[in-house]
Amino acid sequence: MNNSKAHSKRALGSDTGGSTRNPASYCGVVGFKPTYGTVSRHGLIPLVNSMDVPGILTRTVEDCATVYNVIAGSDHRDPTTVQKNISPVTLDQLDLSRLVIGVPEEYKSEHISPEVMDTWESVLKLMAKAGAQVKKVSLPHTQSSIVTYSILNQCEVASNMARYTGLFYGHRVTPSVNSTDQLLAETRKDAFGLVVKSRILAGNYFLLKRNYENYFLKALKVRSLIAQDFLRVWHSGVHALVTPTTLTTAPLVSQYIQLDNREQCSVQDYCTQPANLAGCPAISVPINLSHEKLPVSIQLMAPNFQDGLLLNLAHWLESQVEFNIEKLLMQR
Amino acid sequence: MQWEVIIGLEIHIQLLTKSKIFSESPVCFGYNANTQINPFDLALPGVLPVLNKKAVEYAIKFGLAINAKISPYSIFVRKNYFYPDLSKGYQISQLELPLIKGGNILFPIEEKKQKIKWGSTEIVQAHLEEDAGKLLHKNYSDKTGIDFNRAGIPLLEIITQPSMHSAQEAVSCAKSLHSLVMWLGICDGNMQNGSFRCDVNISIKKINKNEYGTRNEIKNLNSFRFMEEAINYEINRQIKLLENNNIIVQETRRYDPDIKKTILMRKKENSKDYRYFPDPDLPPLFISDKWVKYIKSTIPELPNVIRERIIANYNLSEFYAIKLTQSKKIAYFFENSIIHSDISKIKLLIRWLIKEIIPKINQNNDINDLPITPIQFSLLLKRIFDGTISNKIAKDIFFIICKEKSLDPGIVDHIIKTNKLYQISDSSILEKIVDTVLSTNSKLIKEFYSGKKQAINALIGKAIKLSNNKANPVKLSEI
Repeated sequence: MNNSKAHSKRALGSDTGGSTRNPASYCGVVGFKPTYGTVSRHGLIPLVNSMDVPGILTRTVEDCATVYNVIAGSDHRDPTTVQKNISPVTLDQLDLSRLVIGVPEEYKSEHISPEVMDTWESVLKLMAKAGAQVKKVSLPHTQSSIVTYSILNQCEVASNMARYTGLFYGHRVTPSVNSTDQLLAETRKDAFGLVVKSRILAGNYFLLKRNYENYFLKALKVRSLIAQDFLRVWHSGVHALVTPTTLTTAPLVSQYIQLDNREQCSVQDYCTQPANLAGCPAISVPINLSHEKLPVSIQLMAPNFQDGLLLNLAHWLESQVEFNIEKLLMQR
Repeated sequence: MQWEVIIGLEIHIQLLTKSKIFSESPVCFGYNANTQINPFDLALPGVLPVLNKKAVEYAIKFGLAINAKISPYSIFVRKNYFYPDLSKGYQISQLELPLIKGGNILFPIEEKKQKIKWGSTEIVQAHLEEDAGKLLHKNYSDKTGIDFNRAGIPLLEIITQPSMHSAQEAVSCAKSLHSLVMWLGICDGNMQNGSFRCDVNISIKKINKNEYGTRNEIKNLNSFRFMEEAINYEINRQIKLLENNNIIVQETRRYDPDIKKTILMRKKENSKDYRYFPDPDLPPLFISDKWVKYIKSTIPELPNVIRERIIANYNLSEFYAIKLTQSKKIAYFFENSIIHSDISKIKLLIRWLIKEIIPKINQNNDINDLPITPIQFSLLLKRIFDGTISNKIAKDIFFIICKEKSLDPGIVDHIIKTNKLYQISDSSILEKIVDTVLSTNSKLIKEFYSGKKQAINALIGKAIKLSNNKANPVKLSEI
């Protein structure tokens, strides 16, 4: 993980449900999840293959675009990358008066903190002032997003983790009884953490013949409804969506450990995760600091393969706000 | 009690592609363990499957040859189970949306006085999947080795309807599929090496009942003889069970050829739930009509077409037509030697082909490696017709040509000339030989005069031997 206090100017991080944008938001850096299929997953250790995207973490949107131009494009080693050429992104002066900005109602969660809410509203005002048409939109299936994500995540994780047996590489336990089954069982029991174990168990449960239709298939159907929500909004003429990245600023460790992983995800990933289900590009841009001096960020989303437009909008937003990570780092 | 036997087949064929189905590792056999592998075959995290287009092409070739439907849209699924030879913990396969659907295969089931009765079986589906590695039990005292060279070799799994009713029918169907995939050049057909593996599902029911009995599966039969033995054993085992009022439980069994019995591997009630789901690493497979048309144009003329043609052109029986089209190589050889030969002598040509040439051709799977060229063969036959050499000498010459591997058509006459193998038809020379034989075989002569007509053949045989096979047998018997 990139850390804004570290010296790196650019880093990569996988983004399955928000793991690039989410930490970027808390740390006050730019976090970008490109459109699924525009960046190769070759070499990326899979979590949920149908949602994993290599994400980009940088201090500025310009750096982000530079990295994207290097890593985006078709790769014969990843058949899920797009076959067509991806033209490089150039950052230009963006005329906001040509843009329609959508504000999804469903993202106004009860858990949203007042400071995040204020920041969100201030960004919308900025955009309106610059001539953008800001309008309310609805993504009605957002509520079901986390549970859908949870099922698909666990199913793919259960299968992906099956290769970690200790037979060919990695940790291996000497079993108490000399059998292959026992070797596998004890090695996996020893090596996996509780979260992974619970996902493996749940995922395999959902994939059982008798459950497949009620869980896995249903989750796939809801996933396509969520993707259709986005499509409907784009077809209505909306160019980009503006939402918070996270509902709050970075929690304290004491707050964090009170919740289990499931609940953690449902709060942390609430705003970021639908973009992974829909495959669309999303970027987190730091806007200001909270009264506790913690970064508050805003997420922008655009239609699939409109990564260029998204980066241009993020670039514009960055230029409008006072947030300067370099300066902040100097002050510390 | 009358019992009806129901048999269905699941056949795995290894496709003859250069590289594996989802990785760039080469497909080859007989190499040291774990030398033909790459990170994907070992399931190193972060390496993705990339579908081999050739494997798809071969599967489509098969589909077209059996008149199946080529699915324009099919998907790959993960079949999840743990076994040490399966590095990823899942096998990439196809299930509900396979590449090939339907189709049927014809096979000869009975031959009476050279009349053929044909059978036919519908194919349910044929789908692509990856082969697993191999466990090595030798040379590791208390441990097991794993060789991943085989892991990822493309397999086409062919599933037939349960529509066969005897071991003979099932074996004939399997043989027909075997020769078809070799004919198409998509599989080397080597059963011992596991390129063509048969699983057989067998159930029995009372002949007047509609519902099927419980089926058992015999796995991994790698020879047609074992297949026939295993099916017959299994049929008798099931009949005995039912006749003794026992029930049949669904089992997976294997055949042990040493004790000639099928042996329980596992009961199906403990069978695994494979937790199939679409593999998110592989997009759906879309097949265009254009590509299918192209592949169709690359399919060689199929045996049934050649059979019809040679039956019509040469007035052959179906029996011989089948023999002459048992492989592409044989059919090629026949058609190319007959055009250089005298059609009125076709019987001799076919006799020679079946007795001498075909067994030699079958010793070697290489399509380009013929024991003798069709032209050399037709010249050899010509020298028999025109009386230059005897049939026996012709065989000797044939063996010399096989050894020399010469492509030169002149080699036939050259061998005759340099070894002076001309048939002896000159009566004065033959008479001398006959005299010698008669003077040294008084016993046979006595037998002949006491009424044993066969004794004359023995005498002629001795005379031929004395002449180093060069004596003309027709002239000899006259003398």
